Amino acid sequence: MEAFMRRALELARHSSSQGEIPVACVFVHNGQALAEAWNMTNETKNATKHCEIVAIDEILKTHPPSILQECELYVTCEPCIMCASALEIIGIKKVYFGCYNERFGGNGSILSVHEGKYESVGGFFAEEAIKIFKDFYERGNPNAPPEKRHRPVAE
Amino acid sequence: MKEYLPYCTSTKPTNTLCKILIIDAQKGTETIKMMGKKFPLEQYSLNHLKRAKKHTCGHQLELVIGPSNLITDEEAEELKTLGDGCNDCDRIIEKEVPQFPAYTREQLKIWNSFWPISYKEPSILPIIQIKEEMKKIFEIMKSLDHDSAAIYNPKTEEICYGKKGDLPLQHPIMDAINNFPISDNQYYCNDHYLITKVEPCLMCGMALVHSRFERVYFMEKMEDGAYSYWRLHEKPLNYMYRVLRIKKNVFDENNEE
Ligand SMILES: [Zn+2]
Ligand SMILES: [Zn+2]
Repeated sequence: MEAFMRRALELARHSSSQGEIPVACVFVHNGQALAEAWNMTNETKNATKHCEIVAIDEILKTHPPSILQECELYVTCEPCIMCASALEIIGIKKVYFGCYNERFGGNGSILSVHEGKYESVGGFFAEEAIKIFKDFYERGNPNAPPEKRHRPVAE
Repeated sequence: MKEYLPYCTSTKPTNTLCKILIIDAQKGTETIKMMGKKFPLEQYSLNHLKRAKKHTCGHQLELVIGPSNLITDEEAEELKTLGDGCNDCDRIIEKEVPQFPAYTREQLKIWNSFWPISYKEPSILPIIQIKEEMKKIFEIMKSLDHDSAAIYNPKTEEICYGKKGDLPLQHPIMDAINNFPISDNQYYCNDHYLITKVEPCLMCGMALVHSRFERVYFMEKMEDGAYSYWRLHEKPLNYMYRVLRIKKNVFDENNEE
């Protein structure tokens, strides 16, 4: 378990170096990493390409949707409301996340989309996930709209 | 047309001073009826207030008359004669009551602690409705089926469509966003409208937030819809678009024109 979250954090750091908001995830199937992804909203110029969505798209290129119901997700930041709903739609088994997402979080912060649908536990390596955010925003997110720059927003 | 009003940051109520009549509860029905004619709350834009409130001791009612600065002492005193003369009941007091309607459930709870509020999801015709533009929106809405959505640029009148696909996340709105070409000097779907027959689900509703849409038009509510069920528009997000629901009859009327 720890290894998957460490891997996700590593990917988040990579994401940051690519000028993407540093959130990343690993989908795990039967104890094996099935897909990895990081946020790609800037590269794709598509604000919906959060790492969870990117990973699901990737998995569905080669697997039937039913495999997602057997997956656990490790993600560095609480899924936003959009991703939390997507995870509900695909029927994810369980979610482990790092820091809380107080602006957009859909697994407890703003809404509890998971309630009665899938298990979600947060707070794994949260400090590390927050530090990656901090480092990113201290450098300044080059792709944020002008009024949003230098503001510590999550995802 | 109905607008789903966005989250209002202020849960601090703006109150206004009103004159209140305290009467014997038995006189309630009669007095409320009379006050409805003589002091209609609409006239003071206070029709979000319920007329009556139980007084701390059970057999008395507090009835809001109207704003203290608009109701003269004589007018208020006149109401007293309707009572049975019991001095304890028949009196006029003043109280701070919410000046504006409650737009959210959270506000409702707070407003209610001052005075009972009737909560109607406010329905307003926003001044943003331009006749020509509405005609175009109706036209696009009419062209859509339940498995499609359209991104509309009101300046250039360009339209980008999306369709439902076979995969679980291929909702019409997600598809439309994926199909939407973003030019270099543009921030996602800023200034664009999303038009759909069916209310967006929560995933799509939030995708529209991330994509910085300007407005969403839909017709049919959905059981677990982003607004009617999840009340996404009332959440304290750092951005929210305007949500407008076109009622079917408005749509038909417009078609006849
Ligand atoms: Zn997300
Ligand atoms: Zn949807």
